[in-house]
Amino acid sequence: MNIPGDSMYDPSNSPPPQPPADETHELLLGELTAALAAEASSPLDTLPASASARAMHVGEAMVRAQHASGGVTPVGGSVSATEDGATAAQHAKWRVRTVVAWSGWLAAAALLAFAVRAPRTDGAPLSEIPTAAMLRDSLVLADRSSMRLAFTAGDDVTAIGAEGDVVWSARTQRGVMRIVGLAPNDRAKWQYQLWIFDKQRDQRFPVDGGVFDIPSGSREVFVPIDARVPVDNATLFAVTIEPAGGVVVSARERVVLTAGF
Amino acid sequence: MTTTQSTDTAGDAPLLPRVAAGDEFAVRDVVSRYGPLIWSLVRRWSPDTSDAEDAVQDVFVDLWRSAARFDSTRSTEAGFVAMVTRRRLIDRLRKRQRAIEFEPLSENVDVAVEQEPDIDRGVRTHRALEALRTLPPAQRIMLELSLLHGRTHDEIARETNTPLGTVKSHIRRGLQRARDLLASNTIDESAPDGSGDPL
Repeated sequence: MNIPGDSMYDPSNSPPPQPPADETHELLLGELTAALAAEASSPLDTLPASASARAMHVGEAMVRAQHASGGVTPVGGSVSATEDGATAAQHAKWRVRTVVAWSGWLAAAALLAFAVRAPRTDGAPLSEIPTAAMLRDSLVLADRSSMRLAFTAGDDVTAIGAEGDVVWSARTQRGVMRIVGLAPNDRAKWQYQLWIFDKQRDQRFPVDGGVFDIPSGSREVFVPIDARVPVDNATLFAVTIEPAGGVVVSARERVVLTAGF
Repeated sequence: MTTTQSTDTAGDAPLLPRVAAGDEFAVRDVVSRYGPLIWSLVRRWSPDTSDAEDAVQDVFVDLWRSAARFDSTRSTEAGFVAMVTRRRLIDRLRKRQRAIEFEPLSENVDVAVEQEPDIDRGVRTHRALEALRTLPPAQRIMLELSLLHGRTHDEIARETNTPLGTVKSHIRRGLQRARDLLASNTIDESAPDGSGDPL
């Protein structure tokens, strides 16, 4: 029954069947179908774990893409820690340097490992600068040179229970930190700052990866990495606490997160 | 018979509005709650496991994209999920160029009846089950073959050794009766559990 090439079916190129003007009849069929399925339920109806994980991963990527403002913390000193991503998107400081034509739909399609023929046009506009979460997805999915390293929390009180990871692409010089559980900062007094240790550079002077804030009430925060200079061979990513605005050279007195080989 | 699938009991808050609002944490809940329903349909409608695994991903993509259209005053969430699932499965069947005829009532059934907005979802699902139970066996079996198993009318005719016209008639009457029962406020519990309409 398989059609040749059907496994390469690409939902990003295939809009769902258009709903009729009046869905009432279809809803009736859906209602009856759900009832029949509930009655006929059997252990065979357990969604396979791999399919479940895939559906969740794709769904989360799509929801993030559709609501591109969510959960993104800007890098840079001019953005309020409390403003949402939609406003923050207007600020150039934290914008990703390269306007990449990745949409969340495309990332979702790539997640499905389908052949990507063309990005969707009914999702996020392609000209829209991707959020950090979307950028992270695209790096993980489409950039084979990217690496993902888990963060280890330091002893600092702000990092108790903190976790996350960092995705970095040496080829494109782009990256995103995913941080969960790091304490919110008072940006008027202090900020978090990322440092990237480059094997090719003097270890006393890691590359400044940018300062960032953790808004209060945030659960999971995605922070784009804003390396000031090219990083040839990253070996360690470290987040420190620094005075507001960041520093040129860190005293490394309060190291809250590290991720390295 | 186990009944582990979600049918929107009163304690289940709708999840699709959360998805539509951008709550990505609701995605996992949706997959957990409706994965069995979707998979139960997909695996029955699909020719093989590989096709089913592709289909289920298609269905979920459709669901994320159509989450905002769910209206709890018009259907249960499970009913909406089943509708989205059917649409995608029918679309896939059509892509396989199978001759299908799934919706015989579109021109004959009064579809203007709306559910009352404040009806409890659990009650509505219960009524759907009750409506199905009151159908004559032939109507119910053919509806089940069509809705649950994705059989075409031709296939049902062959599998039940029933003339095609009779199959269509049973399905038409079954749907009409189910619709009427759902539209009414009470299910006639004493209705005969099917006295005629032999296959």
